Amino acid sequence: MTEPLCTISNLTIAFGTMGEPVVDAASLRIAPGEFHAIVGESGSGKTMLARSILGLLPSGGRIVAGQVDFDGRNITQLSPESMRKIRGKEIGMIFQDPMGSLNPALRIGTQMSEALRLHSGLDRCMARDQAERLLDQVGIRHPRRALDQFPHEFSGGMRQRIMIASTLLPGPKLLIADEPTTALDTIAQANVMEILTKVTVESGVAVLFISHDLGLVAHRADTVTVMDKARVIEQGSYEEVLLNPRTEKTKALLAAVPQGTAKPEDSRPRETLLEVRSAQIEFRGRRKLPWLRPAITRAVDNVSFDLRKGETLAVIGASGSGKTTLGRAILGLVPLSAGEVRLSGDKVSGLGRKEFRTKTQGIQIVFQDPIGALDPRMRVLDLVAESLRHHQNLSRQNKRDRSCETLEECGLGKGLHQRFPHQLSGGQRQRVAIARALVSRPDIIVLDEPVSALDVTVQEQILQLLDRLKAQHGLSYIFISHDIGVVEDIADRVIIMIDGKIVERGSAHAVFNSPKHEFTRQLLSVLPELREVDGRFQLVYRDHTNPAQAKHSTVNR
Amino acid sequence: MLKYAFIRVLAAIPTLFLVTILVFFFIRLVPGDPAAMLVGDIQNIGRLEEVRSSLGLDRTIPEQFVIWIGRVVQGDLGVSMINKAPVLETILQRFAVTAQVVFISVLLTTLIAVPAGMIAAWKQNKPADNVIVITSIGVMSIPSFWIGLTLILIFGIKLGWLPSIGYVSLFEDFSAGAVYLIMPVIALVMGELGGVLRMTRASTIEVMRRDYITHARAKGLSEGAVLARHAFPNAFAPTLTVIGMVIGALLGGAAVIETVFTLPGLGRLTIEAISSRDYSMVQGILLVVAVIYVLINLITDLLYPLFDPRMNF
Repeated sequence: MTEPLCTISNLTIAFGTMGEPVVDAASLRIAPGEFHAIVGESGSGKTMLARSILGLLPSGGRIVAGQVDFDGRNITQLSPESMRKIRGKEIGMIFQDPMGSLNPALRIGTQMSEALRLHSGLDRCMARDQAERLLDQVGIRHPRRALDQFPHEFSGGMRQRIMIASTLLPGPKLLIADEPTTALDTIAQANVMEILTKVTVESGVAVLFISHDLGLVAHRADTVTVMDKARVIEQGSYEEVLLNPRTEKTKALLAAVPQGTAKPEDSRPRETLLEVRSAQIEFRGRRKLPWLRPAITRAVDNVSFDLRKGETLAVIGASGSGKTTLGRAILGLVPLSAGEVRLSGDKVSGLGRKEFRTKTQGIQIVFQDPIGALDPRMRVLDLVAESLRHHQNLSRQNKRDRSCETLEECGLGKGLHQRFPHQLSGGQRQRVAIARALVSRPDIIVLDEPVSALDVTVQEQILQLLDRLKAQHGLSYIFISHDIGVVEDIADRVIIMIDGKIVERGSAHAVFNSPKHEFTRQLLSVLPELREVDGRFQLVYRDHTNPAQAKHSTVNR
Repeated sequence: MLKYAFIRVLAAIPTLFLVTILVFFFIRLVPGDPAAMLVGDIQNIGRLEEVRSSLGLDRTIPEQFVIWIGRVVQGDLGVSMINKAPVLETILQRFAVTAQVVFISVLLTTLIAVPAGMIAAWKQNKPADNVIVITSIGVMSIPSFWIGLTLILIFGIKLGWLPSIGYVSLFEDFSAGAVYLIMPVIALVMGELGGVLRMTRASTIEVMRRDYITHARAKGLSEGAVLARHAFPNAFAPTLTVIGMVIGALLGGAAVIETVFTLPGLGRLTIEAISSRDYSMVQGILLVVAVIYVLINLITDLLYPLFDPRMNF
């Protein structure tokens, strides 16, 4: 066996003096050039473990026991001075949010060459040349021009590529990537993952990849460490861990990867609840001069669809495709510029505030970010009961009872009803948001990316909850998502949107199995899928690029 | 950007017009008029009427306004109703005094408050931060006239190191002028330090939480470089707004400090003009002050893109 590049032995990290350890006696080894994945839910300590390698724990966090050896020396005991010589040069780090990890005030070229010039003493020109070469490698068009641009001029996926290039520039031996694709939409995620794989293989750098998504690391991981509640619960080669999971947690993580079973077609005639006809939504930009016409952005362009009783309609699109705006327009939160929305045959778009409110009580919404959607100063029970304030025929006690019941139905026991949102986990918060939407007994719930902010295992639980509630209450869902994999198991019909227009529509079965539009094929082709064959898991990709080929093809790793 | 600046100046015209109307009419609502001040003997009705008509005060107020605004448009702010001194010239002369004190004070305030605020943020909740924050709150809580009087008492009277009354322009005699400015500048700096410091500290704390700061550290940059290159440009923009507001407020009237140190500045001129009901002088001063406000705000906004490239015009 080769000499390991980085060894973490019995590392324990805690906050404060008394706190529970956030990492408890964790050990792992990374060989030169190895791709090591740490997988776990949020709060499992995986990020803290990675940050401790560079000595960049958030303030208050410290290493209580154990050590990190890198390239033959113990780096936990290094002075800040010597540690700085390792940071960037020997070990590079990529962060989760590409929107936040590039400095908005500095040009790309300046930020990229900064670390290189610091560690190698190259002059400005040479550093720029190298930066340009790397930008080219990660697939940035016009790399020379990009050097003089600012971060806000790039999309999230492009920024993450820039981050990868920037981190690899000084030629580190180890690259720590902390959920580098979690903040991106599915296609950008796949592209970034591909680029990361390509450049790390080319440069031979070892990678410590942190993720909550087992399906994602299956692309490339040589070795896997699974963490749960601050401990390492499983560790070994990719084959050992993913193909023969020993612990329940790992099995749960595996089960959360989409299994790819689109619902069979349902041709039962159903009553139409909601009709959207030629909906058009425009936003006015700022007027440059008072007498000039403002620039108009068309967010939703001539969109028509029906929602039938008891069905789930999935609206899929990349960020900026107008899907969220469309969802908001159905609730009257954004006015339509043209077209109409009908609820059970009655036109509801264009009504006055009051009339609109009484007629559309049957539609509720659940937002993507439960932290932002729940008032931090209200208790769980009050948050839910507030939705009933327009129901005058209910007494206070009735409202409370019904809120309690609904919360319990959503899996939140009595003990949680008096808590504030910040005292709950992400999944629990989303359950509160769902209960809040459900308590007024709506017919339709608009789910705007309800699971995108959650860990995969929690995603799975929330999706199951939604499915159960739908069956029990005969609900209809409009499920808005950028991730086609999420909706596969629950959607009845699917709409695909690009730039405000519907480019493909049909039953889930048809769209998933024989997609027609190029974009849909692209969405589906980046979807890794784990299939259980004879009690073993196998990673499978769909290939729709050539319909003549077999529907699924196993990827060569 | 030039076009933007031009539009902003045009957009300021209605504001300025509104200010002039309000000033013009409100000052005439105050009991007493310059004629009464000049004549002194209010019983002499005939003489009073004579002076009033010579000042144009016998016309109706709208008429007076039209005449005045007509001259202003031509760049003529008229002469003082009391001593016939040309208004614009007097204002500019007095403004030069105020501007010297204010710009030096604000420059010093920025040079002290911004680094101190950033250090406080960097050492958040550590002893250095506590010392800086407590000191700044303390200094902020003391009224600047009291600081002024205390300075005069100690350095002017007890120790006799500095002159406590009078003023020499820096442009005429730099060293003599500087001696006269020391105490007023200290008093103003102490008054304004706290606000700027706390703004810098708050925005730096906000910036230090960002990933790009951790990323800069992960690149191996020293803490100094992280603060100066990555934190400062992002944290300074909100502080810039505060500094612009401080300059605007002080230029318009550092009246208290000017009175304490008997500086012949704009603030004192305003008070003199109001108490002698020198209508033309008051109108002129307030118009000039409003223009200064508009310009300072415009300059602040135009400086913004230097620190935040996402802003563009």
